Amino acid sequence: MKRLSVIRLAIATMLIISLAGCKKVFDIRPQDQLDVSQAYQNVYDADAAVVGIYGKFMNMADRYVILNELRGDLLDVTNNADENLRQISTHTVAANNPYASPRPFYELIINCNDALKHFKIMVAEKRMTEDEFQQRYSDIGALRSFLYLQ
Amino acid sequence: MYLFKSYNLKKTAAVFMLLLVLKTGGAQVAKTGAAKVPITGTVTDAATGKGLVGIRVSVENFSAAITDENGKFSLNVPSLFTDVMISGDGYETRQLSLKGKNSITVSLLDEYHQSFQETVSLPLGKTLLRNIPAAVSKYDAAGEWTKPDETVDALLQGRVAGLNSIRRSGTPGVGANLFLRGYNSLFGTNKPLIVIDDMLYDVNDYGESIIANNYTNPLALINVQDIDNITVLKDASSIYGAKGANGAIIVTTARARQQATKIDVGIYTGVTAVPEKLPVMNAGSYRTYLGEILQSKGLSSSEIAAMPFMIDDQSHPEYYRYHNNTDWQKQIMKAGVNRNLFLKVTGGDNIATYALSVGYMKNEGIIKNTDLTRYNTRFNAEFNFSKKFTGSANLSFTYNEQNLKDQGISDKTAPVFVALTKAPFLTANEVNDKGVFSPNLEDADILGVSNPAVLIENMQAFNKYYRFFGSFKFNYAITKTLTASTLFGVVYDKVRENIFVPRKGVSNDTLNNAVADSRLGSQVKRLFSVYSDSRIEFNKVFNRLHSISSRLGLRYHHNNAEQDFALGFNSATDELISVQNGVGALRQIGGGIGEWNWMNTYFNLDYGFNNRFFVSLNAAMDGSSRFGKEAADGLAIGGVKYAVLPSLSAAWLASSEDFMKGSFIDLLKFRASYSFTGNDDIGNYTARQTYISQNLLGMQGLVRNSIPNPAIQWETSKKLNFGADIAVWNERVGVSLDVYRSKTDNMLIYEPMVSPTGIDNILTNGGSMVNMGFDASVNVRVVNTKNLKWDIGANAGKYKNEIKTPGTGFETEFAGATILTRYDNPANLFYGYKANGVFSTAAEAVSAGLRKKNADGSYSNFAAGDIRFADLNGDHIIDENDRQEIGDPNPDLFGGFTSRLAYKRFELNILFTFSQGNDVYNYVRRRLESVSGVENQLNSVVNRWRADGHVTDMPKATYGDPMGNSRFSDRWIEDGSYLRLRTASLQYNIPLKEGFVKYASVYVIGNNLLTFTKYMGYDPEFSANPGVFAQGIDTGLDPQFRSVTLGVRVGL
Repeated sequence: MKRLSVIRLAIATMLIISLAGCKKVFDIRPQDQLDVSQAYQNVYDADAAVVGIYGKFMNMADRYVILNELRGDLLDVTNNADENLRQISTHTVAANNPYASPRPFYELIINCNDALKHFKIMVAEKRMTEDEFQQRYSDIGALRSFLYLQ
Repeated sequence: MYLFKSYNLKKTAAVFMLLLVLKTGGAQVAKTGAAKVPITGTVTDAATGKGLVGIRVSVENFSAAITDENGKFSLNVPSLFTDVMISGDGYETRQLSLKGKNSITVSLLDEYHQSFQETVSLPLGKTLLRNIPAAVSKYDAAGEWTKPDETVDALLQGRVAGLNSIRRSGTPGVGANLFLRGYNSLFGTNKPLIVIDDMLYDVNDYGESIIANNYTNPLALINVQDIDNITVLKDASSIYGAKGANGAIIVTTARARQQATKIDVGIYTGVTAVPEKLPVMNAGSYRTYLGEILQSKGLSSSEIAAMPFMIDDQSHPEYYRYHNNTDWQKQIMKAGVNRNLFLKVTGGDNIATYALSVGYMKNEGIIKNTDLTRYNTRFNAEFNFSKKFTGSANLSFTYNEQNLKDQGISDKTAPVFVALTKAPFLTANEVNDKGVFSPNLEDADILGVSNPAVLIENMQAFNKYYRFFGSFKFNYAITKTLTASTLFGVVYDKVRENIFVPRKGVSNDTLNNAVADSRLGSQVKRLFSVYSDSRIEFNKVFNRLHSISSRLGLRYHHNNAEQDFALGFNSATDELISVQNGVGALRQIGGGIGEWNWMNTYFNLDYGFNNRFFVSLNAAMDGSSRFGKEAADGLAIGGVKYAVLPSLSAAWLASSEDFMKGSFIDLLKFRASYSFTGNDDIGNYTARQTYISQNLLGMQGLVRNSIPNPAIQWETSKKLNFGADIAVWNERVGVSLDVYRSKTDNMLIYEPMVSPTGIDNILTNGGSMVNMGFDASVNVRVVNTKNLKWDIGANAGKYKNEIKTPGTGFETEFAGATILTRYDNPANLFYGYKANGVFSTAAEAVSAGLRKKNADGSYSNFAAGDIRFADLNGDHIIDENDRQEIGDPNPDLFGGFTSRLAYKRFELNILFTFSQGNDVYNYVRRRLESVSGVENQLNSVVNRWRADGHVTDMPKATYGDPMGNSRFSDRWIEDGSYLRLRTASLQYNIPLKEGFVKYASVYVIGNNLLTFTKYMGYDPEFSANPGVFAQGIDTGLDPQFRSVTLGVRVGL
């Protein structure tokens, strides 16, 4: 009987060790990316978010030109242009035309929404001042409106 | 009554069975009582028929006897329904059921005989194969003295039914990709778990090599001469929880078998042979071809005639440069030399025994200037601190150095590909206008093709890697029945790679903002892991009938992997080869860090009734830092999800039953198992939302890294297995059969997302896949006389893989192939166009009226000399809707044949391996018959379509292939079936007088000696990467080659 209780104790100890320590053991943050729990800590993080969104926005320059200038006949296609560009130029866009996909715009809008949400949390938790908040919130808010209108 | 019940047992469920077993057991005890019953018997040698002296006959924990000079013994047994063990030096061990007889006659075969009576290593200890309810295969390596150059993965090829071992390429040490019973995952790993001396051996790749298509094989760090035996666990691997989905390969390394000091020395040297060359065009045919290509590019005939290689005037200053006939394949390949030295010392005393080994190996590849050098050390020891307290240590350190070259799809820098496509009228060395050759190597040619000789001589690609793999284990026997043990181990692994591609002799590469002439690179990959495995174990036999052993344990595995690389370009001169010499603005750096923890609480219960019924229950509860907190399955404790994975297996040894008393069958066993196992290869941080850097005009900002899936979890593999083992003819014939069905649920797939999410797809557990198949193996001792012993064996496996993910499926691109994954079909079907010959005349082409869409949206008609592709939907437009299944890379049957012939002091071992019915996509031939560029082509291209009315199957030469004649079609699909004489070794044991040298053997060993195949490439065996979608695709990796090795082993 005594032996049995030793076993029981051992099992219980093992279970306690294995389960109690677990939460920390299984919560490993990536080191080459920033975990969400470490983002938006202070105003500099908020700035990083704004810079990041603009950086990603720059990557959409081609779409901005193609979807506006080419459709508006301010540009024309050359002989080397592929079918997709020709479709944009002649306003006969097929469903599978990559330029027609709103996906990249939504990707940026999701980033904007994410930043706006966190800005609100930050100002509520006094991690940035009301002034700092208004500057950044209106910046991203304006960008988001612009994207929706594209 | 008893018989009736037993028959029922087979059909009833496992729990029910246990109850019945207990009931019948009780009845039997009452019948025979616990009194001592005397039995007598004779043990003879099966080869000579004479009685054997000194053979031990025993009943475990009860009684034992030794045979006299006539092989006779008498023994007291607890009942006539018990089992006796018979064992002796130099003979196989046998466990025999008395089945009511009080007199037995046993004739024993020698210890080399493969039977079901052998001891195998299981995850939790050693057991006799006959008593195991799971599907396991054993390979007794016993220090593979006849295969010094193999790696563990390639060693198992053709040895284990159901294990498809496909060697990656012919590079020394590169090993094989292993697939046990088909595929279990599409995007996770399919590698079986490798366990070496009770510790997980990590064989994953933490970051791509900077040497094109190089694979650093961690198993090349294991010397096969150190291996004792290997067990392949095909099902019921739940004990490894979320790492067991692909089965497990359990490796045990050298141990001291006796206390006397024993020294073994092995010395080997061998030569390799260059594979048969591919028939590429000679200078004359190529010049004509080149003329046609240039013409189709739009050059006028006078422009072409003015090209230096077209001018046949010997006084022309460049005549000698362009008028040669070089065999470029010969320039880059060379027969190599292998060397191998090995020293093993075993011994010890009653406190500690040890096995110490040191090895050196240098294997040259068939590509010039490639080799692998290995330095390995191992120290294994076992300690008896006290009667109750024992321990063991397994420490190994291996350092490998490899000289490599780029291979596979690397058009500018892979010597094999460049040699095949280089113009044969050029030469490796510079030549002046008098035809005098310089020792200097030529630069890249006017066609933009690199000089293969420069890639061999001046391009550098090193890989240096090492691994420390060590563990300590302590056992403490608390009582006779209860043991506690703990193992603690550390792995430290590092891979360092350097590359340098010179400017001179290699065609330039294009970066997004510059032209790269010389290329430099450096990479370090590091893995550090800590492993521990602690358990308590309970073993007891009740009433000599019920044996119970149970374990409860905890494994913990902490891992940290890091990859860092730097690439530089355009160093000032070709003498500056280290990465810091590259132009600063072009420097590229990158890498990754991964950290993860795995904790596995396991429970095991093995129950055996009277050595004839066996039930094994294994269960694991796994926690991992990789699992999402919102995983759908599993047990939630404290906000963490745990995978709960049980398995149950049962076996009935029918041959130990009374009703089998008079049967000719020596052993008949039925097995059944059902197991849940998991695959945790789901990415370290897939479940977490993270932010990554985003550049804005030199400033760094942060953006979301896609959308996480907090519900990501392990893949669950459910395996059902039925098996039977049969032995007849005094166990000289052994047959093992298994049928299985494994289903992977929660399989990772990329699920397409709607556009407002902003991303294309997300990794989810929405997939499902099924494998069904069978494994079979036969071993026969055909001849068994005193001087001649002949064993033959065969094994084969078949699997049928089917995707069960609903939906339309998806396509994957690899090496220009489209691979289709669709419901109810195998995971990796080749999906492409069907070619129906070449339009011979313009009229024929016009009447067919086929056309294709160009990039700019216009259409072009297929004309004479173009391929006639099948127009499936009849719209006369050849587009992606006309694709169909054109091949299946999965074999119908794969396996091997073995033969061991021992005559007096000679021994001949032969292994054939085969793969039957697998389709292969020959990417190399596609490039060499594309007739679309200035690269040299295969000789078959001479027969290309040239004029109206020409009937051929080779399309016309057109620059850039505007009609897509060389698109992915069944033109490139070939039958990859092969039968290969994989290894053959002849051994002679030299007769010696008692003295300093105790024994000595000489070996002649041949590898890949003969291959029977219809495949048109170098060799039908290759595996470009471990992924499901890369199988059966010949990307032009270094081919397999023949080798012959001479060796000698001396025992001191």
